[in-house]
Formats: sequence, structure tokens, C-alpha cells
Amino acid sequence: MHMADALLSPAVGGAMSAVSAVAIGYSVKKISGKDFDEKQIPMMGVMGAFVFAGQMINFTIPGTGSSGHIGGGILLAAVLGPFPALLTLTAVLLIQCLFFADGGLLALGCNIFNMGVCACLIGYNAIYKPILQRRISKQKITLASILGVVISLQLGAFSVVLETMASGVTELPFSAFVALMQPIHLAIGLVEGIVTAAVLCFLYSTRPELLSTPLEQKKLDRTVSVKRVLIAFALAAAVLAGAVSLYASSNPDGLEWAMEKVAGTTELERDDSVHNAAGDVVENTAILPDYAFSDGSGTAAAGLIGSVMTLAIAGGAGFVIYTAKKKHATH
Amino acid sequence: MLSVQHLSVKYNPAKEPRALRDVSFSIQDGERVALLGANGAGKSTLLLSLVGILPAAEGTVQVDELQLDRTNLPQIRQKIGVVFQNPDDQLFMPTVFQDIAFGPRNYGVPEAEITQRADEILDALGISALKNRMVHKLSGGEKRLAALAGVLVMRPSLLLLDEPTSFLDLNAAKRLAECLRNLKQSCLITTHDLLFVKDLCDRFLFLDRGELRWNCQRQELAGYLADEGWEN
Amino acid sequence: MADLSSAMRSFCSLEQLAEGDSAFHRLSPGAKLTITVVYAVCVISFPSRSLSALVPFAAYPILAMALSGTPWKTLLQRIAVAAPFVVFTALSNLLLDRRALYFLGPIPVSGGLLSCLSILIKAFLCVSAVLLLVSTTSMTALTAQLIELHVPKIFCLQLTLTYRYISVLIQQAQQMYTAYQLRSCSRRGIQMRDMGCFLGQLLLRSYDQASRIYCAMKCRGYDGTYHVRNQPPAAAKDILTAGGAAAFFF
Repeated sequence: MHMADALLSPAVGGAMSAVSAVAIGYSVKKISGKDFDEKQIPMMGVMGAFVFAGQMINFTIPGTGSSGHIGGGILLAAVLGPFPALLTLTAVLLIQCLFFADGGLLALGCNIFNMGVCACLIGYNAIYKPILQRRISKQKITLASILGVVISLQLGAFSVVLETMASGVTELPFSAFVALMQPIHLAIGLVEGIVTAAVLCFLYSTRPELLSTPLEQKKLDRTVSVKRVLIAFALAAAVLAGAVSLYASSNPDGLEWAMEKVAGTTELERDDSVHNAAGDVVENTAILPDYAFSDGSGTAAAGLIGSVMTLAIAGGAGFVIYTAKKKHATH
Repeated sequence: MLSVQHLSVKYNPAKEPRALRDVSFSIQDGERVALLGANGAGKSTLLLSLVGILPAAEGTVQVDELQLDRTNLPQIRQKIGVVFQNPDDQLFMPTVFQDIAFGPRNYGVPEAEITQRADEILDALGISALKNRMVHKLSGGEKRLAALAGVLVMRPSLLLLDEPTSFLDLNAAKRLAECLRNLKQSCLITTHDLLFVKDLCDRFLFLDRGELRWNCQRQELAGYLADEGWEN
Repeated sequence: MADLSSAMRSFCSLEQLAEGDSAFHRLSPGAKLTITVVYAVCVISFPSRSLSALVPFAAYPILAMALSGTPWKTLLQRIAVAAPFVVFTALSNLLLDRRALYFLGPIPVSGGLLSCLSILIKAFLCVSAVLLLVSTTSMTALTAQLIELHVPKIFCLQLTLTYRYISVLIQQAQQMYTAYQLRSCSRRGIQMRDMGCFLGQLLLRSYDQASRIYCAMKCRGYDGTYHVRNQPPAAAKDILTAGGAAAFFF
């Protein structure tokens, strides 16, 4: 479930980007720490490509006629360890965002948190690892991966709801939104969990050392308390979510608020200028002077005409450049 | 220039039999040597142990005056260039030039010199047009030559090529042979492709289940092959 | 598999576009990145019912597309595959908020309609801005720019490798899929019970490939650090353009 730019307010996007940046920075620090294994980088690189390809392989879900695919967070964490997995998934999300228009640049922070941090750091450390810590067996792998994937996806889906609500773009009431998102993701999580379990069991029977190495590695560096990191994350997310939603409700326009803060003046606000900044261009060219964008019917019509005209001018300019270029090319 | 004495390599110290047993041979300056052998005979293992990726259990590897040990791996790897069997394993950067520059940058070669060296080598291999191309859009033959360029740019004195003709059609293989013939470097080429090395190489080594069975000059090759039951 | 090959196609088409040459292509990646981010922030900071104010923002993608000579069709096709989640949220607004705010002639305009259209337009604008960025800037240049922005080199090297091996792994997955299809009595897709082996095999292949790549990197002096060419400092032209564009959006 990719979060998209269009559903975000700048404040939520910024806050989530900051949270994800901290998670990434911390992971980089963990990896390049004292027992840095240089082999991990090519491993992470190729595994990223694997997840990318793996997400595109659809399988048929028996009895439903529909198809699904894996997300790969828990799978990556199980093979690479949580921190490399987060970086790997970040690279995948970045490439998807750029080349496949999944989400957007500003929503990237949200997506890294919803799909990366929730699965690789929280789901893995809170569910997967504790179950398998003492002894590995196929039953335990199955349990750990299904639970791990389901809970990661629940967290991720809940974050999507919170982010969307805090951004104030949807009319859906919170309870209805949650009641819609969580069950859908429970079903997706179950299916994905079963497939993840199957992959991990396959690995366990062919190359068991692949699964046991990351678990052992974590035993060595007990010095870093994973719990502390998790608690810090949970707190940060809660505080951010709270603060953001409070301010989002009182102040729907983040940019305006930021400008006010920065400029220390409300002058901009007085003539409603941020919303109309683009309209000013039209106003200055004096085609439709004195119109303002608001929700009154007359002015709205004027606004609509104004913007369509701007669009037409831009389109005309674009067309002229195009044809000029073509002529240039043929000569 | 390369001298290998009583080299043994084990994959798993405890269990498995040795991947290589008591292998000794040497390669002279400018000599091209073919390394033949069945699948799993230890050809690739031998190549990787020559550059210290797989550590030797016993024996020594000497390149010019340098004896391979843990401390001089960077120098050894600059002297010996390895071209891997699958160019996709070796061309790990997105564009040809970036990939060529990867090695020299690691050795701290100044940027201007990297560009100059890259241009020279691309020109010598006849692939100047590929310089800024994306690697994944190259054909098999082009990839092979680009991988070779990435190794030659380090100015090695010995080239190790692992199955250079896999993924190549006859024409591309012919072109590659031409390129190798024009190089001053010594080469050690592992292959199944007798046709490719028959005229290209001066000497032939045959590896069988980790042991060196024979080591012959070109004129003796036919006789050895007949002994193995491969009439030519 | 349709998914795999279409992914590869769109990958290649964007890459091919990025190899083009125009005034917009020649702008430094840093400038284009700044413009894209500022643009997206401006677009999404409009409140949920603004509509007419958003429309003029289409000027940027239109003009930039014309300047860079990006074919309309390719971009429009990509935009059409926008995230289903956006469409869902937009439609739910349309259905939930039916209060008519005003009448445009005989047609009642509800708040839901406004916010629905607003979300769709925002999505369209943001997506087209990002696609413009990648269709005029190579991934290599973008990664170099990330290093300039002090994104950790470990991450950048790993990103470069992921980018490089996507095509290799997609090809492998495709071959495996074809082999599977040929022996599966023309049932479509992969059965869920075979998925463990299928993905597991692909994962093992990737793992082994990564090990070989590591060997190849070691052979050429890799020691865990990523050496890159220093980028030339941003030219005055780039700073001016980025600044100008940002000011224009405001």
C-alpha cells in the first residue's frame, strides 16, 4: 500500500521523512560500525533487486481467483538482518517512487516508515526474532513469519490511516477508515505471511546457515538495546502523530503556517496569497482582474475560467516549443 | 612471471576432499596458457585462489617478485586481473565507464588519468562507442569486452579469464580472440572450448578432479587429446 | 509475465528519455531535484477543496515536457497507472460529502466533488513532476547528487547495485516463470503452494550472484568504501533556475 503525495500535507510528509531519515541514518551507523562486513553491500544491492523482481511475481490465491504478491520486509530482514534490510527496502522504494510513480518524493518518508521500518525493525525485532531466538524449526519459522508479516502490515496500514487523517485530505471518518483498512490488510498479511513462511522454510531446508547467521549476529551485539530503539521510535511516532494532527486540524495549510513562522508576518495570509500565488500571474496580466479563489459560485466560475486560461496559455506555449523543436530537427 | 608451487585448496576445512591438490605450474611473460578440464574439476577454484579470494591450505603463489599472502593482496590484485565467467557478475556499475573507473578509483588513480586510460582501452578493444552506454542494454559480446576493459584499465601483467566464450556466438568469440592476441599481457584462460584456445594459446594445462594431469605445448596437444580418447 | 516485462519496458523507456539532450536535460540534477521537491510541496500545501488554484500548476509539467522534448504519450501512460489508493480516497470523498456548495449553472457542486478532483489533480501533478525528473536525469546523475547531499555512501553504492541488477533479476524471474508456465497445463499465474520454491530459488540465485559480485569487486580493489568522482559545483545557471522556479511556484 503506497502512500501518495496527493494525500499528504507538507507537515505530515516532512515529519515522516524526518522519522525515516533517522531510522536510515541509524541503520547505516549500525552497519558501518565496528564489525562492518563489506560483503553486505553487494548482498544488500542484489537482494534489493530480488525484492523488486519478487514483488512483481503474482501468484494465484486458491479459492478466490485473485492474485497477490509479497512485500518482502520480513523476508529481507530474516536473510540480511534488520538494519541492512531496512536500507535495502529503502532503495527499492526509492526506485519504485522514481520509475513507477509509486507514491511520490514527499511520500517516500511515509512509505519507508509504513513498509520498511514497520516490517524490518519493528515486526522483525518484536515478533520474528524472539520466536526463533532459541531454536529454529520449520513450525517456528512458519509461526514467526506469518505473525511477523501480519503485525507489520497492521502497523503499516494503521500508519497509513494516521498519516492520511493527519493530513486532513479525506472525508472518511477515522473509525470507518480503520475498519476498512485493517481487515483488508489482515487478509493480505495472512497470504503474504504464508508465502514468506514457505520461502523461509525452503531456505531452511536448502541453506539453513542463511537463516541462522542473522539471528546469531544479533546475539553478539547485545550492547545495543533494540528495545530502547523501538521505544524511542514508538514515542517519536506518537508525539509526531499527535502534534501533527492537532495542528493539522487547526491549521490546514502547512505551507502558510511555515511561511508565517519564517517571515514572522501574516501579511501573506491577509490577502490569502499562498493559495492565489499562481493566480497572481493571471491577475498581473490583467485578463481577469479582481477575482479571488473562494467557494462562492460567481467567483469560483471566474477562478475556473482564469485557471483554464492559464492552462491554455501554458499549453499553447508548450505546443509552440514542440513544433519549433520539430522544425529545427527536420532542417 | 607467475609461479605456483604445490598449491592445495580446501573449501570446507573439516569435511570435503580438497578442491585442489598439489598443483604446480608456471607462466612466462607474454605467454597464453589454456586451462582445460571437466565441470567441477577445480578450474574456477584455481583462478580465485591465485588472487587470494580462496585462501590456499598449502603451497605458494608467486607473481613476479611478490609472494601471495594476506598483507599484499591489493598489490597482487593489481598485477592479476580476473575476468569472470558471467559478465553480469563483473559489470556491477550502471554504465560502462563507471564500471571501468571502479577499479582505478579504488586504487586512488586521479580522475583525469582514469578517463585517459579508459579511452585508450576502449579504443584498443574497438568499443569506444559503448563508453556511456547502460550495461544492461549491451549484447553478450559487448558485455564481455566491457568486462575485459574494466580489468585491463588496472594495467595487470597477467590476465585470468574464466570461460570467456560462454554466452558468445562464433563471431563474438572470434573478435575476443583477436583482442586477446593483440594484448601484451600473459593470459590464463579456463575453457571447454578447444576451438577457441587451440590456436590462441601456447600451452595447455589439464585439470582433473583437483589435480593437474598434464601440461603440454601446442604441438603436443593432439597427442594428449588422443590419449584421453578425444580424437580431434 | 506481463508484469515483469512491462516493468522492464517502462524502465528502459524512461532511461532512454534520460539520455536525451535539451536545456532541461542539461540542468544539474541538483537543480531539478530542488525544483521537483519545491513544486510538490507547493502543490500539496493547497487545502483539500482548492481546485482552480491548482490548475495553473499544470504549467510546469507542460512547459518542462515541451522544453525537454519528452513525448506526451509515454508520460501520460505512466501517470494513468497512478496508485489505486489515491483513487479510492478521492472517490470516498466524492461519496461522503454530498453537500452542494454552490451551483455552476444548473449543476450542483458538492464539497466532495471538489476535494475528489483536487486529490486527483494533485496526484497527477506530483506524479508528472517526478516522472519528468527521471525522464530527464539519469539514475547515475541522481545517485551522484545524493552523495553530494551527504547521503551515506554505503546507501548510494547499494542503491547503484540494486538499480544495476534489477534488469538481471527480472530476466531471471521471467525465464523461471516461462519454464514454470510451460509445464503447468496452461494455468495462469503461479500456484501459491509453489511460491515458496519459486521465490526461494530466485533468492538463492540472487544470493550466489551477490557472492560472485563480491569476489569481482574484491579483485578490483574494493575495500568497503565507495569512491566517486567529485561533482562540479553547481553552476550559477542552475542555482538561478532552481531559485527562479521556486519563486514562481510561490
